Amino acid sequence: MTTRLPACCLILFSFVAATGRLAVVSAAEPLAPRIDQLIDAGQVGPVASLASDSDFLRRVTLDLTGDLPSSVEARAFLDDATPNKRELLVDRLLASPRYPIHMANVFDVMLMERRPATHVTVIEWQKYLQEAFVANKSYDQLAREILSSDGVNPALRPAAKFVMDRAAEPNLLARDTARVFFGMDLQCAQCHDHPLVDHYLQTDYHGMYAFFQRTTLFADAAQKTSFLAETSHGDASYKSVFTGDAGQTRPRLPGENELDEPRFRQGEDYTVAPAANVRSVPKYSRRAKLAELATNGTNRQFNVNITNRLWAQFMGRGLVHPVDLHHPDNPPSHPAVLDLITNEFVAMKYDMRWLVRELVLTKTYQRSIDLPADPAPQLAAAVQQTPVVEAEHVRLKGVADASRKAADAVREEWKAARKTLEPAEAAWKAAEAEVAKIKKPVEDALVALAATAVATTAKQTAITAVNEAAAKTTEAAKLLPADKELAGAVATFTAKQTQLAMELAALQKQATDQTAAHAAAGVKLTEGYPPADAAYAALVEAAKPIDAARAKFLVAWNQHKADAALAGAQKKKLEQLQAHVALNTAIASAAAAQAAVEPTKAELAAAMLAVEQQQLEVTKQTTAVAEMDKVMVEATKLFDESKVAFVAKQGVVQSVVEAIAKTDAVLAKLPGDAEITLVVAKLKEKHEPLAKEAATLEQAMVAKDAAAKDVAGKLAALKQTLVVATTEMATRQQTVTSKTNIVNQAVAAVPTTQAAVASGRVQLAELWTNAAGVRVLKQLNPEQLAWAALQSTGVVEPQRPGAEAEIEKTIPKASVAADPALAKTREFKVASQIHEIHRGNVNAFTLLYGGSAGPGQDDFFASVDQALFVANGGSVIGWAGGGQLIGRLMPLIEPKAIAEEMYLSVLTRRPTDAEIAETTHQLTARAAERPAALRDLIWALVTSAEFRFNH
Amino acid sequence: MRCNYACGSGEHTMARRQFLGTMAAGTGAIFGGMSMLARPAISAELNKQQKRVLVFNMHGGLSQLESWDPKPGTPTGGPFRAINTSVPGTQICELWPETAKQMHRLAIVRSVNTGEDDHGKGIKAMMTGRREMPGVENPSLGAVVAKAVSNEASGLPGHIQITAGGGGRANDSAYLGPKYAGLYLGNGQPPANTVRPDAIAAAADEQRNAMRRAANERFLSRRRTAMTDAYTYSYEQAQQLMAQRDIFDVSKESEADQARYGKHDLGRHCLLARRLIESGITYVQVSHSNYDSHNENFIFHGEQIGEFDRPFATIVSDLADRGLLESTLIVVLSEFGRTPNINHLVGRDHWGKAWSVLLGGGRIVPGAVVGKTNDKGTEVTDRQVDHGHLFHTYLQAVGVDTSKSFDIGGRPIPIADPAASGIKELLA
Repeated sequence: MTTRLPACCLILFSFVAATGRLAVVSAAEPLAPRIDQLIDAGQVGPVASLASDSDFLRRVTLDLTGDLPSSVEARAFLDDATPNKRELLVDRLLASPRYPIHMANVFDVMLMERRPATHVTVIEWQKYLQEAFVANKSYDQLAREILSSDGVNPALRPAAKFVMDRAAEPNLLARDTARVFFGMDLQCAQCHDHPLVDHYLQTDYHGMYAFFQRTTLFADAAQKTSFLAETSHGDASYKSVFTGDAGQTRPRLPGENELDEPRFRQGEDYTVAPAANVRSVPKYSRRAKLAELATNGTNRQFNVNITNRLWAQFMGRGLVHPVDLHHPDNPPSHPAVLDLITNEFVAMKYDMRWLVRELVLTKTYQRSIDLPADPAPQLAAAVQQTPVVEAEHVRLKGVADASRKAADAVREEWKAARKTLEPAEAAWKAAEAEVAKIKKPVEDALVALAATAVATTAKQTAITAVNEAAAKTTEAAKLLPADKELAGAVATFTAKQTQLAMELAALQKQATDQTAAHAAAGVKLTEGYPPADAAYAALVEAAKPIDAARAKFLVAWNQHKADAALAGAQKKKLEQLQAHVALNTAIASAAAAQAAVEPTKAELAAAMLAVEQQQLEVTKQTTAVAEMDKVMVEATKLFDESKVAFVAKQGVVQSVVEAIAKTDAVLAKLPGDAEITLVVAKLKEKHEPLAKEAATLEQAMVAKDAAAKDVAGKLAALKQTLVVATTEMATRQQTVTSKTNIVNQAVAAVPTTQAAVASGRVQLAELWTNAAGVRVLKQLNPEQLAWAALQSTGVVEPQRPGAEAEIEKTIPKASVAADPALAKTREFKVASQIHEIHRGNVNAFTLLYGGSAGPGQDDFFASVDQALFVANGGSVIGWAGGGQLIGRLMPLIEPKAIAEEMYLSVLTRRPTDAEIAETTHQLTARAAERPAALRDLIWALVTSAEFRFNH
Repeated sequence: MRCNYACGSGEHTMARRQFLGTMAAGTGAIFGGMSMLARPAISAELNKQQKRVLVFNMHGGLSQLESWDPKPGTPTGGPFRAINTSVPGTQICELWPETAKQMHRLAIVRSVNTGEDDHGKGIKAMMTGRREMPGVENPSLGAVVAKAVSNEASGLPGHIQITAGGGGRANDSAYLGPKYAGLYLGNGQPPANTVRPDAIAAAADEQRNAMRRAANERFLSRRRTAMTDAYTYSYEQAQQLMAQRDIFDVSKESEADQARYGKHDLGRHCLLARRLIESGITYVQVSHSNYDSHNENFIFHGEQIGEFDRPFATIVSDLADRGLLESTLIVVLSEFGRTPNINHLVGRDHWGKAWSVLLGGGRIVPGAVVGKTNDKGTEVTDRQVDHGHLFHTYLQAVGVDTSKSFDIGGRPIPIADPAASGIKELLA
């Protein structure tokens, strides 16, 4: 139970305040700072700075008077150093005659949604609304008149437009009343519980429908106009096309129980009973009851609807948005603010001018459209807060789910109980049908009596005529006694008189009889009442448990709605925080991605350096190998040469050895032959040195061989080193490739993460805007756009003398000198007259810029038709080229002065240096066609986005 | 208690955002005033992907017996014979010799029961796919198609109505907003304000628009939203439309084509419809008046169809020849059919209980015939459908997922009545 305390407190607080008991305490303190305090306290994101003086001037003028300040007013305001000049401006605008005219337009669009006029003209209606705002009529009073007027009282006839121009169609009225006056779009709950909004029930729809069900249009043939009539019977029944759940409901205000209604017996239920060509007026009017109960200060939904709508009108977005979807899953952005302004508004007796003034004086209203810089602290804080808020949301969701279950269970009990009512209900209906039967003779008798009365009157008229004729004839007969024809005529008249007297007597008798019959039937009817009364009493008795069950359900259901609203608000907060966290993460990712780029680039550079270094090594090694190759060639050559020398010497030695052997053989055959012996000796002598030489050569050869082998070894070693170096080179090149890829990836990651940051910022910008931290850019509605264009180009003021002259006829200027109130009235009449003069011009805009009849009038759309109208149609070009603005610009010589007058008139600000330069350039380039150049300069500003939007 | 049919998706908002996102990327092109569509290659590509719908509204109520569901030789059949068509086994009334040759490209639904015999309510049901409820305005088919199918970047209107009457914007787009409302080309006249006024020379026009863009750039550097983009872009779209103003001028078509379509109003209107469809207009509706033949039904229908048959068959064949039939749905509909019973004035009266609709192109199965009526045509005997089913079918034939919802200012509103569905056997 403790968990539910806040919800209960909230409801109690609202109730107390709504009944007005806190009025005296709270009204003393201005509301605006208290709103600001609450907004500041609940702000998740950053807030924009306050708007510049020029933005504020343009904004508040459009919002309070629906047009633009003149360049004179703009200059004066911008150059004014008074500290509280904004407050003074607001008070001036609220006192302006354009304020009621503009507010009447706002309320016209809100209430009638540009539906075609059928029974009440736009002019009558707007006049009614304008006068309401002139008099600062309280909203409850206005709503009461609109919901209850039957169109008979001429003063309130325009108020009946809401119902009459919806053809008194009860479904349409149920829907539009629920939407416009209670902020609940119940349309989808007509045939079943709302498929998308858990908290809109079919019984909510039919509870509203029941208020309008008995109202119809009544065409008065005599007065040739229509009024509203109402019957005394008819109940709203429903059946779900999904579940088959069916039932009946008496009228019900959103969030409240079914009404306890007085019962009137048949025959006693009308002030004016229905009959042919008679506008019936029941003793108990459901529609009047709606007007009374909705506006008595206690219906919270009625109250929050209007404060939220006024908030939306001035802030550009409802605390609850859309303004006609109040339900727990769509909680207000600032629940406490909605509570505060609603309670105070009710305490201030629905004083709209007061609330409007407080709203436009808040800082929230005055925020700039410029987005604040990156809110690092808020983002960091969001990371901290999220888990806590998330846990709280889970808890609140649990509470809401539990109370939903409880409510569903009670709802089933109520549905079950409803079934038990059927016999009593059938009995009562049968009894009433009996009464209707008995009542029939009473009605018949009345009809007959009426017919007799008509016949009697006719007869009496005839008698009078005959009497007069008889008198005249008798007179003539006296004058002409001999005239037989006259005597005959007298006799005829006398006979006629007798006959007519008898007939009249018969009619009078008939009337007496019929009166008696009527009385007798009346007695019978009276005798017939008790059974129906008893049946009704039995029904009431039987309904008690059901009423109790329904009441129990309502308590449980309202409890659940309160729980769900808390959960919904927490969810909203959580989503806001999550968006901040997401941006924080995205910013971190983007920073990390950005930071990652440089180190990877450094690594790549290092790798590339390593490749360069290795390149040197490879080159060096290649050179060494080449050099060694040369050495190798030399060593091989030396070895080869030594080998050749050795082999040659070896051959000589061999020849000598062979010669010795052969000579020895000859000596053996010629022993002692001296010559041969000498030859042998000589040969042997030769052999020894030769053998020695050969041995030397062999040694040299072996040495050279060794040397060559040594070089070969060195060469091989060098080649090996080169292979190693080349392999290393390949590895290092590989590294460069992979590092290049890494760099590319890191570089590519940067824009992706930056895009995530950008989209996060866009999302947050929307979120801050929705949370009233940054000013909403809102469109000028069609009327504001038309008036802004008319005013800035200077085609409004030329109509003033004519309007003055017209009003002078009824309120001469001389007469108001000593009468400030009358002076004010006169001022308003003149403004109103000018407004009417331009109605055609404005209509051209509403046709193109206004939505189709019905909901969605605040939706923005931009169409080609609009652009073509502005670009090629006569209006804007004509105004730019022929209004007072161009008239003021033509005599100016300095381009700077021209630019200033033009920018102040059209955009309510002074031009920048660049804009002055552009103006100068244009005027110089088109010096030969200066009027056209000025016209096009004005046109370009009027068609700019800066003009189209309220910023 | 959420019911499962209604779709809460924000897909349409998403698509819009994506579109605007695309525009943001192409800011240079937009602010430069040079539209992406002005580039022929892209234009041709878009044109190929673009789906279109061409509706012929047989105003007053075309007799199904003198058109798509003839009952020759029965008491209700009337004097006309049935003739063979290019689809073996499918016959239509002999008043349609040219259309008969195109039937292999078209399909018939013979089992329409809207149960609505009132002109106003009948056409409302047929055009919105929903029965009228007091106080509820639903957008017409043209507005729905323009919103769901149109290329948002195009400056051309998405929804055009060709009638013999006056011009201007219709009030038929309900919650979708005036942007999608029907643009009436009264007797083939181009839309209003599409000509630069004499007072503004071409060079001056360029200059003033350059100034406008420069002013926008300055302001949008402060704050830029989807709204500001849509607003500034609408002026560029207007320029595109002015540049393409010729597409409304049927006299630019060849003499030969004008002769083929016929020089009477309907012929010109049909040729204009072809020209618009070829130029990438998403939805074109041609009205042909008047089929409300309470007396002399047969003479009436003979004359009316005699005028309609040739230009209609010509446009079907032309669109097929140009490869546009796969992307273009063609529908011939009325507010209701006409009574099988022939009254004492040799007329037929209003009849919503058992009648026919002709359609083809897009995803529609060529040559298909869906549904049947009994011998006298007084009852639907097979595959009964109503305006709701037809509405789903039209949209599905051009690729719209009709289970989705439009996002209207944060509220999802089902594109088509969730209680009905498309005629599956008609959709390839």
